[in-house]
Amino acid sequence: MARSRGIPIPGFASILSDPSDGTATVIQGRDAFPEDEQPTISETNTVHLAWDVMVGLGTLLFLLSAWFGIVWLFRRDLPKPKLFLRIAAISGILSVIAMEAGWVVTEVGRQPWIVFGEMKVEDAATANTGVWMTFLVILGVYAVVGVTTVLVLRGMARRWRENEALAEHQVPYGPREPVDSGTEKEPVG
Amino acid sequence: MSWSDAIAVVLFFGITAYAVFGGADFGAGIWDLLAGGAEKGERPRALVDHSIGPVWEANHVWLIFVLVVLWTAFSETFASVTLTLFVPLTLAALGIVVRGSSFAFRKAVFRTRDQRNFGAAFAASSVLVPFCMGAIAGAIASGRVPAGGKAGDPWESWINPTSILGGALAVAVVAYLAAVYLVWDARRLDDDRMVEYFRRRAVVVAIVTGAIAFVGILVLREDSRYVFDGLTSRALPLVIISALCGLGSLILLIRHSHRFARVLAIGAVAGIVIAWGVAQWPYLLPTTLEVSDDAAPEATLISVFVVFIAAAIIILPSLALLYVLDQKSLLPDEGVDSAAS
Repeated sequence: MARSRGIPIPGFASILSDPSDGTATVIQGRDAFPEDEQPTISETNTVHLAWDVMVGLGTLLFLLSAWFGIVWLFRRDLPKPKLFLRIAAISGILSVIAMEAGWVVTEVGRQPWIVFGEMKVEDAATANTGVWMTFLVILGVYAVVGVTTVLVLRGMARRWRENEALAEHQVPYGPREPVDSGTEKEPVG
Repeated sequence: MSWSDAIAVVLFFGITAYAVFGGADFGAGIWDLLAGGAEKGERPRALVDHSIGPVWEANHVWLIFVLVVLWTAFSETFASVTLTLFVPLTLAALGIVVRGSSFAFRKAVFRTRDQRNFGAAFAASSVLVPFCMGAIAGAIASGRVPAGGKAGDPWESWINPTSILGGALAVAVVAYLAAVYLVWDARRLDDDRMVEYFRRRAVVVAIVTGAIAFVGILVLREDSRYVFDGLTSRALPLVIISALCGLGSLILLIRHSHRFARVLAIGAVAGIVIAWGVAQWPYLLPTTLEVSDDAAPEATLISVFVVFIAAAIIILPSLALLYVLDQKSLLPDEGVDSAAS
């Protein structure tokens, strides 16, 4: 097998796979499995990429928290650099992407099985016709619901900006009434 | 009683709870649909919003519960039902999605046109979903779902006399339940006009439901012989109790005794659902698949049972607290102008 370029750490992957028996665990490749139980090359690559995304973003978010933690510990304040604020602003989206990538790892990583070692996806799938139509209808409904959600939220935000006096706290999840400065903040819930 | 019998009882407990709680939710949507134009319907719609707002998500846990118990404990039935009835199941699922999202969106938009569109989507799916659920029950009861995890006819299985009866009965029953609940909610808010509004409608729909049930007897005799025989023999006491409860609630509504009318209405609906279960006993899919033949291995059944008991201990008190707080108007309003104002 071709050796990949990089810094070799002997036995490290072995320990990660099964810490109980040290470096003795041999990691099996695709070709260790019968041909009809192997994932395809594109599935394997998808898992690899999704795994990198998940772990990469997870590490980034961990470092972001650590940055905050250290600064907080010494200065009792948020880190000031714009870089920190920029990453913090998109960290919510990044964590959702990391979560979805994790799902891709579990779902694609199990191929061709739906229940590992017990049942293949092709045996579990419905034999009914019209699955494509159902899929398209569901895709359509969720697209409409998704777009509507964004429009409704933007509408709420716009109305709030234009007219702060508007009694929009009457909307579920809408902004609460402004809290007087100096008074204790009420828990929002 | 074997483990499989016990889990079948648990399953029917979930179906009954869904009919009584989730059903009233759909029914409230039906009254929203029938409330008329924007001005005329404003008050009843506000009451509907007010009364289902705090609890409407909680009521649908029962559907999840039923599905999970079914696929875990009786997977062959689950496979047969989902393969055969994927059309009404998909329609019901989409209806639930559209219903929930438009109910939420309606409160967040202010233009009448937008509110009307979301309101229409909410209300129309409130009819569609119980109809599909009733049609599915009819398909199972009339033996049109084949055993063996095979797909039956994708159309005739749920477009047939028993399914249409089941769908119509489900729509009428949920409308009736909701009207009776709404009478009570209006009374709590001292809204006499709405008390009278929903009381009249409850009386009318109670009579309609009774009429559908009566026609239903004839339909079942022709189309679902096994269940018909069950309903007229071992399930007969339940049928009689259900009929008496229905009649009793009708009389109480006419005599303005709303509190017990509600209890009896629940009794009538629970009675019908449980009677259906008893009537098709010992079959899950009459008359091809028995409860004991489709049961998962005993270890699975025991796990399901233990989880059910644990869930009952953990979840039922919190659900009860939610309903009590809701009934006492102690929950924070979801931000809709009170129907009383």
